[in-house]
Amino acid sequence: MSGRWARGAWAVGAGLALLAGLAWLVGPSSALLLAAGLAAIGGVSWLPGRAVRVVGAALLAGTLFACGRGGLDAGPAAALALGVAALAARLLPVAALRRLAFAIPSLVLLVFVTTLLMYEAPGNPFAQERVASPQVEEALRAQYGVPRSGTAFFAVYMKRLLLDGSLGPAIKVQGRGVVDLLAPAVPISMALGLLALIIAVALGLLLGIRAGLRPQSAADYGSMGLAMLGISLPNFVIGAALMIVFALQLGWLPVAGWGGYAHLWLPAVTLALPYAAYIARLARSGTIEVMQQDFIRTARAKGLPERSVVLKHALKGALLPVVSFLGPAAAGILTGSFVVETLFGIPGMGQWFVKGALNRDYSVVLGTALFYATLITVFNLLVDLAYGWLDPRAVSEP
Amino acid sequence: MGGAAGALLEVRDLHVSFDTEAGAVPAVRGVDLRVQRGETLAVVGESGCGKSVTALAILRLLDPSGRIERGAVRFDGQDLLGLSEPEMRALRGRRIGMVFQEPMTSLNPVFTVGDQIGEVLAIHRGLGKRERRAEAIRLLEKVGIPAAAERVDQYPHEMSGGMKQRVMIAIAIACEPEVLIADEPTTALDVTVQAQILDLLRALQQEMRMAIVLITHNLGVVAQFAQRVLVMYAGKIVERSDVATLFREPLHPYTRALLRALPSRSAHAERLVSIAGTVPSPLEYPPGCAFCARCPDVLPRCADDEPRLEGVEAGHAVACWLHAGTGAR
Repeated sequence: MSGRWARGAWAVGAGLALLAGLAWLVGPSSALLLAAGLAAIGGVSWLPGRAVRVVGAALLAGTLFACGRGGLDAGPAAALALGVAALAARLLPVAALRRLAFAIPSLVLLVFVTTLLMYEAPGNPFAQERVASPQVEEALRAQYGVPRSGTAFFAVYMKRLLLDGSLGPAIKVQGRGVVDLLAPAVPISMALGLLALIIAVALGLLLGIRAGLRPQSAADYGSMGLAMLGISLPNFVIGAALMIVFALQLGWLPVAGWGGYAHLWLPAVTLALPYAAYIARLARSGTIEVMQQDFIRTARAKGLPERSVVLKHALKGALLPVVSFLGPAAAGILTGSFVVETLFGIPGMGQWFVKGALNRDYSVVLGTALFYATLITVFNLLVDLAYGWLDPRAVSEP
Repeated sequence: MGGAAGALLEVRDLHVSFDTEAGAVPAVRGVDLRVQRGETLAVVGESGCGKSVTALAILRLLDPSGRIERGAVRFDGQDLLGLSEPEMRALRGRRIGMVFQEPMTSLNPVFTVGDQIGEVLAIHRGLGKRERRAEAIRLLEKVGIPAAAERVDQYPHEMSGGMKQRVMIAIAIACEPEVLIADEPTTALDVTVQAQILDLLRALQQEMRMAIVLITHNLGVVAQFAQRVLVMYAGKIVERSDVATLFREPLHPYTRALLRALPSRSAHAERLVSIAGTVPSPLEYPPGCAFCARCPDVLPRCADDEPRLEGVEAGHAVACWLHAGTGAR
């Protein structure tokens, strides 16, 4: 008993200390809001199944409504959102709804925290060398919906997002919305990220499994040496080296710039190599471990050819560590693309992320952050699903 | 000991060693065994005596570090050590089945038991998907699993240890093999389940007329189950006999010590009897008898001069200087 009390006291103490720290950083009211948000998200874990169905479906309805408002009037959007949410509440397993109930508030909290941090950074979208008169600045703030306090801006932003499905006007690019700015960049960045992810997984698995099947062989030392290089070299070095060899010396691929999908190969490989190296190391250790298991001997005793022993019985087990790494890897590849996009001069999302941050263009920063966060959330969800398929012992709730 | 002609499975002068950092370690040092159709041969000995290695060597399933140095394995007239890998695969799981000690880890956790039984049916019997499922259910029923039609879609972690061992047996007998090698099939199970599994094996053996090579350290299991026994110590066979003779008249001091160490009902509340000393390390087997350091009846010549396995009467042979030259060859 005393142990539990002590732990509880520690938890409360740590929570209060955290709150005090936050209050000092972002102000007491924001700190309270933040703590409440965190508590609400954490609380989802303890919600009973029936409540999860209601909460999850309601959150889904809200999200769908906001998405639908991008192209539809309020009526049809509401009908669509409610219909799909009702179906989801009926059909989806509790585990899936619980993840939704966890993910959607997390995204809202992310917007809130990003807003607070943006407002803490010096300067603002309207600060220029030539100081504008207070009246002019007020008029601009009103026009673009940028109040002076972070929490107020958060309220404006969320209201606009939920009711109109709009990411707001770009403050520094006159007459255009954030969606208009990002729309042409999204497919380019997605293609780059996806290609890089595919290269990383394919190359990493190939090298890693080959090495793991024959540890201490030439193939093993070769691929692990390569992996060490891939992990150690920063991607601006790899990128430059690839440019010199494949674009300048061999002339197979364009050096940089954007003019079609041939321009994607070099940046995708640059982006993929470090992750391919990590995946190779994980796949190697996974393979070595699984090949020592008793069930591999059973598979051989059945008379299975070695190919089936490896591809069927060993592969799923060898994939487990790789799959757990894929969530963070996808996040890393997507955010890592900022550097590579800049290096290769590719007009993807990365430029807006950087420009938005430098210009203090709050709407653009939030738009890109929200986009990437959503992507990473979805990806983690997929990884969870894949994990359940790979390892039936990772039981989920009914 | 002649009469090898009718043997279904015959191992002659098998030597197996493992490569380690300390050099090649001998695990099996000249094992001979013969199994007739339909009979049960037990191989008894303590851990590390080479009995499991012998079994794995017969199916050529040794780890990469293990090497068959010398010897012959003949099955139904074929030299197994001379077969190509695909020819060997065609025998494994079809004509020679194997059951392992650890049912907990011998089944793949990420496939349903139906899938794992179905695999053998696909490669050796060429069954289609639906036939495989039906046959897997039939096999599960055959090994005594209730509600087989539901169990077939379960994963190993949803089953008890005894149930998993039944699944392993179902896999091993799926193609009605002529020989079943059971490597400590009951060791990891609790006592009541052990008896059930042995009963199951016996029933299956009678039904399918298969030979069983039962590898165990449990003399109780041997007495219940086998017709003939090989006693192994430090990689060699020290005594070979039929079961009744072995229990009535054990000759090798190691066998006698093993039998004394069996807990008996009359001697309850006394301390369990153990064999003094330890098994010598495979790196330093003496030139003579490997048991000499622990032997109560040791003779001067034992340490340097190795006794050979010699027949003392029909069907009973022992490798011990105490009995050398006492019986008819």
